[in-house]
Amino acid sequence: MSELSITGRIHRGDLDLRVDLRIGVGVTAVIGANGAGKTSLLRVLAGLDALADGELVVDGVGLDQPAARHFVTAEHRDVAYAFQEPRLFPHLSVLDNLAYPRRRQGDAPGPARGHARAIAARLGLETLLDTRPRDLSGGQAQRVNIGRALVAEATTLLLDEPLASIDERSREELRQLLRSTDSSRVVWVTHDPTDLSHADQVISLDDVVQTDAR
Amino acid sequence: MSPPPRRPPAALLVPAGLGVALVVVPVVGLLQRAPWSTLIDRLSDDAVVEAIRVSLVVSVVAAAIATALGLPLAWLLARTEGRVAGLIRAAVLVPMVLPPVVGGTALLFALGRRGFVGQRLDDWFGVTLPFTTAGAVVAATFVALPFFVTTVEAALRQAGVELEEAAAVSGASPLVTFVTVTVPASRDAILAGVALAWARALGEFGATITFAGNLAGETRTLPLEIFLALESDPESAVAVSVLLLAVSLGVLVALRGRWFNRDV
Repeated sequence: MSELSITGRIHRGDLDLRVDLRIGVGVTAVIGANGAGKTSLLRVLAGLDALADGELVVDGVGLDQPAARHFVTAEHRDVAYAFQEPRLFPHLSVLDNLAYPRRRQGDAPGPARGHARAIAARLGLETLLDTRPRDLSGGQAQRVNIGRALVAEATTLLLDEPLASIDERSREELRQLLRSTDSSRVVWVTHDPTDLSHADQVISLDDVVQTDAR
Repeated sequence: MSPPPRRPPAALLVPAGLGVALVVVPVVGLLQRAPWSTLIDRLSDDAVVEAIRVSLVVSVVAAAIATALGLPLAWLLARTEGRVAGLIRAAVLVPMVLPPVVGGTALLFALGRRGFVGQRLDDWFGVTLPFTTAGAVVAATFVALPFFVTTVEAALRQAGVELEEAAAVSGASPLVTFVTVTVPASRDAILAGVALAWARALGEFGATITFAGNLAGETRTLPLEIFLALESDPESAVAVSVLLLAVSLGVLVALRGRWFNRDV
């Protein structure tokens, strides 16, 4: 029963989105107009925001059930999340940014950095391991951001427009990389039609959105 | 091409110049009266050395306590909205605007031997604060804490929750996030808060003399030593004042990046 189901209401700022979605294994592309609630959906899946009502069940386990006052916080969910903007830790090198999720999973510094180096190699970041985030270009920072989400090897991988600031030449290579991740479920917010051809499932939030009554 | 620079109007220049003079003239007066040739001798006088020792102990311990208590407090205030947070913020700021002698009086009636907390400290733990070095530390921490909290809270508020969310989705609990991300990412603001709190603790006079008294070797800090020496040995008072002035300028230089170049 490898499935993620989310039903109910996502309320955030001006957004009031009613959803009834099943997300299976493989890559699920999420599309929709600006303000349709794509990022808000990812935040609820990650545990950064809670459902207003309804429930989120992943692989048979309830993660967010407001009626039952049950909520599993972000750090206790088996998810990784690459935000739309990199949000790298400014005081850590590229290597330690990449190792951070592994350290939190309980790895010792050595093994955590080993995993980080392996991910860095796949992302072409080998020469930047000692660099601080402020010295990275936009595209390099985005690669580290993607790498930090991949290194956790979480069951559910959430990607918010991961290729938006990547130059055209590198996009296909990274697309293949994200496609071949170990995560059993990838939820991929995108505006790029090319990404859709890689998806096993496409969810359009424009179809499910109910505009706020106010 | 931009027009040639115009002279600012005298109606603005004169009061601005008087403002600068008000600050600079006393400092010049102090430096001009300083006994430069005997400065080292006067500062190595036993009473002064004793006051330096007390001042260092009191101010460093006070800054450390203000940091240990102020860091969690600043974070809670920066991340909480609503009336309760507003009230707590106002309460923490009180020592900043309160006359220090009033703060010392308040401490005396709360933590003094007959005070509602002090009496229990004495009965239960045998701890007496008034007129002890520990009491001087409490007085200095009382006045220094808001300087740390306001500096760090503003920085944490400006930094936002983005990095903390990134840590949470990486598997970090709120406490681990605080230790591994929030604090190191705000290191500069925290160091500025420590410097300000320490400088305020070092200069503390009113609350200290009211709550902790003026006991040589125990609670007589450098400002109290100056106050005492003004009566008996004005030259020594000037010498110690020059020492504290130098320390203050040192703190300003250390903080220059934060205050003098606002866009850095």
